[in-house]
Amino acid sequence: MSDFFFEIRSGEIPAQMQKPATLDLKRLLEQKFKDLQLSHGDISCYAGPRRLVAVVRELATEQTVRHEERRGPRTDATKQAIEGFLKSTGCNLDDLEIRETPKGTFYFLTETFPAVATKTILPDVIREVIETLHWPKKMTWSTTTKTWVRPIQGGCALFGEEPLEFTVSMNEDGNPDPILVQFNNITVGHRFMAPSPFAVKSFEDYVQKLHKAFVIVDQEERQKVLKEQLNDLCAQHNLTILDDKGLLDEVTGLVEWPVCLLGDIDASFMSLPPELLRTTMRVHQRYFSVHKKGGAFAPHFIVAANIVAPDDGKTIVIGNERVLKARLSDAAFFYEQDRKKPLAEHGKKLDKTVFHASLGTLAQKQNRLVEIIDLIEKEDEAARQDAKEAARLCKADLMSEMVFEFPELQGIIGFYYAKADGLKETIAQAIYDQYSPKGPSDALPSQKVSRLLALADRLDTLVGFFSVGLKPTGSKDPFALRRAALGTIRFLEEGYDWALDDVLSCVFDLYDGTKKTVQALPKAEVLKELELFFMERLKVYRRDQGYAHDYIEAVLSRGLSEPLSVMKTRLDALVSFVETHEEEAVNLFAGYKRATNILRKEKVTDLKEPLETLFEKEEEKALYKTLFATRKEIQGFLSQGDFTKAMAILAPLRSPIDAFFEHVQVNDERQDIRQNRLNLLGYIQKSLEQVADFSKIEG
Amino acid sequence: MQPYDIEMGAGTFHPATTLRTLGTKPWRTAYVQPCRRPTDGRYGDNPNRVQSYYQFQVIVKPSPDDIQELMLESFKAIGIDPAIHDIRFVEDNWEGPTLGASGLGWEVWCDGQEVLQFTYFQQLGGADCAPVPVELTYGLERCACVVQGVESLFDLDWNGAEGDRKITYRDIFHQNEREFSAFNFDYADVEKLEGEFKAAEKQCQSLLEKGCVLPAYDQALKASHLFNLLDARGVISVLERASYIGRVRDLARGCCEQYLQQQENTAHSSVSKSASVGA
Repeated sequence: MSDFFFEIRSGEIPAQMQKPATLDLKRLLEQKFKDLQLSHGDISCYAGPRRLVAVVRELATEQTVRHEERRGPRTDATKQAIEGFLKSTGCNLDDLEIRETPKGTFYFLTETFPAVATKTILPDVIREVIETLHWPKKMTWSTTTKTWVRPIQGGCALFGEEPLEFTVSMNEDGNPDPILVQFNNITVGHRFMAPSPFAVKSFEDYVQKLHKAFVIVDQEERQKVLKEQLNDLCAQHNLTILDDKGLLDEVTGLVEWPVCLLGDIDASFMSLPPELLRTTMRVHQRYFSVHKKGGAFAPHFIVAANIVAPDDGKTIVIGNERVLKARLSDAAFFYEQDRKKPLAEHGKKLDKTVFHASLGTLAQKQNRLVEIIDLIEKEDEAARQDAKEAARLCKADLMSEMVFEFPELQGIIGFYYAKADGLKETIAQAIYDQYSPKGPSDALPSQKVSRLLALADRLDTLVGFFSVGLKPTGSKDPFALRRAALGTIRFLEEGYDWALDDVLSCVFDLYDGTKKTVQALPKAEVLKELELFFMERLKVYRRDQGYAHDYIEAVLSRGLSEPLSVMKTRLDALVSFVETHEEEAVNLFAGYKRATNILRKEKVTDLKEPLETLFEKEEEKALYKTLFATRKEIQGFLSQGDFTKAMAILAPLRSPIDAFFEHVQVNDERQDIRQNRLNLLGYIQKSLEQVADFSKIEG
Repeated sequence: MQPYDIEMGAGTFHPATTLRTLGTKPWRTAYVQPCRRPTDGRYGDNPNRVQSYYQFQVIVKPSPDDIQELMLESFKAIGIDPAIHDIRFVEDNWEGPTLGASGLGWEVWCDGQEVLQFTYFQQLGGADCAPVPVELTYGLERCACVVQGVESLFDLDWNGAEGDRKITYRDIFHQNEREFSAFNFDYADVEKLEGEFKAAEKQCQSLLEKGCVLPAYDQALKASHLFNLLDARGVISVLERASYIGRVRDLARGCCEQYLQQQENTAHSSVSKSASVGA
């Protein structure tokens, strides 16, 4: 066993592609060595701007003798078929074995492959990696016909301490003048600080020598160093770094040797919105934003350079400050251009801008939002008026130069322009918040007006796209409808007490005359699809919250006709009931299921109220009496929305139900007695179903 | 080579790049190209964004293996020292929709400033490039800013003289930026531009029918610039925009296809000629 290590060097690999490439490389190597029947230990893969690296620990040095069995033609096959098989395998008829199988009598051939030294196979493994590794975008260069993410410049490969020397052709076989990539035991260090080639003896040697040559091979270690530098620099200047994992990952892929430097933002730009400063710095320059200890946006940025400069980076900082000045001056230019007219004026262009080709314009969307807000807020007049006011302006910033330049600032720019126009703070804030929450871990907007607008926008979007058949499929969700549904669910369960189905139906009607009728689906179908979609999202959401799937199912049976906040209360009551009355709950559910199963087996359809006069046994009389009493009581609590109390009453039902099944024979010979007992089972079922569908609960 | 004498948005549009890199024949050239991008005008107020500027364009087909190193050597030669500056190759997927072109490569950053575009063409005029040309486009003003260490391109020292005779980039171009920004954004006659666009389009098509590819390409360039002016005037809606781009692309592609066709025909006739000589 020896370690197998290789490096493929290329022109700078796009930062975002590096991590996925390491994962794909690992998967590919595992599969390849499995196919080759070569045992090995851990496989680790690394990527940086100029190299993709893999190390396979303890790889078997020899592929042992292998036998592979192949089934040939049937013994009664045509002569040509048999000869064809012999020709393709290079065997004689004597080499074949005749064997009977359930499918007939066949010729079999056992092929024996001799032992092969692993090192002779490894060049082909690397060739295959180069041909099959997945890159989102690949290219040809010079006269190559094979592709890689950027031109390959060379490679390094060792098996144990032995260098593997070979070339990989980047052209098809038979090309007289192919572009060849040379593999050997030579690598190069940092592009500028240590460009001379050097030989390596092992993977450990490679990592150490590269470290001395200003390259950190392992991306996780590179990120660790980067983070430490960011934190140190902040500590020195009494700043805090703004968390940004995405940016951290990207910068890790942009440098081989991170060197963090602090630069200043020109004071004249500090009056621009902090979100704008941050976005400009992040998107265009990959700078980290920093805050002062108190929380205010600090007039500095941190740039991770890729070089230790002799002047401690002074030239680099000056250069970066200059670029940022130009960038921000551009941002300020757009800002001033936009501010020449009020937000409402920008909004006038919305009636010429489509929301979606089949769903009319953004102006029409805004009008619908106003009406949806009327539908969903009946009580708080002040909040409703503010939300409607915000809705009339909410998409106007999409027409600004600023949002055209920085789409990620939608809403935020609207907020600043609305404030500058002298609009109420609550209204401006609602424009800011309309796209929140963006992800499952984002907080909901804190003010009511914002929530109304954000919820209305999601309802409008969901109904719109579903009504023209553009629902998410598989992994494709181009309009982020799953996210919109999740946001809707979170809004609804935190404080709205109306049922979703009616509102969806009204929103559907608001689209009348807007939709392109060609794509439009019938209303009933759309509402059914939406209900299914919401139910599916709801299950995913609850599972993420940690609820068991069977409990989730048990409270879903009322669909969207039940307000989501009520459904949530019911679910919590069910969970706490099982936790506090564990033993009773188990038996109760068993009894319920037994009753349900019998009814299903007997195919009973028209259940009636049981008649007391037909009861014979004490146990059935007792059960009916208890059920009759509790049913009323449960209804009382249910009407008050107190599911915990309603469930608490269920606990004592366990013993009369148990007793009934123990002492009473449902299948009596007398038809009327039998029917009455079935009716009693139905009565059990109905009483319990008021609370939840217990048949869904497992265990 | 020399610059081309028609307005264009980038050195890429020079026929020495667009047309000459088509086909299989090796090709290497370099030239300065004045560029005009009407929407980039800032009335002379932005330190490094202007509506008219200069590019130094290098095209090498097929791309050499050591082209990145060659480029870095050229930086050293003009005074950009990679040991003091932070030079970076940042992902860039280039698309030239009006040329039916695309390529992969990098923006080359110097201390956070993009100073050069580095592109391996993958498609040109709608056809795959084989062999692959590599294009290096130096932003001359930006390179000069780094070399001279100035804050704004308008502060660039133009002649190295002192006192009265000192001339800066501002002295030469600032008025130009101010007035052309006003022209591009505010005063260009939309109706006239639209008419000229149609005329250029028509002339290009008719020249192509007559087999005059190079003059037809001039008309395609004119149409492209007229579209850029209309765009800067803000009179083109989102939908119209796509349609304008499509029209310019059709013209440029037509020129590329016919140029390639002509090359192939010449290649064939020279092959048959040499064949007959051999016989």
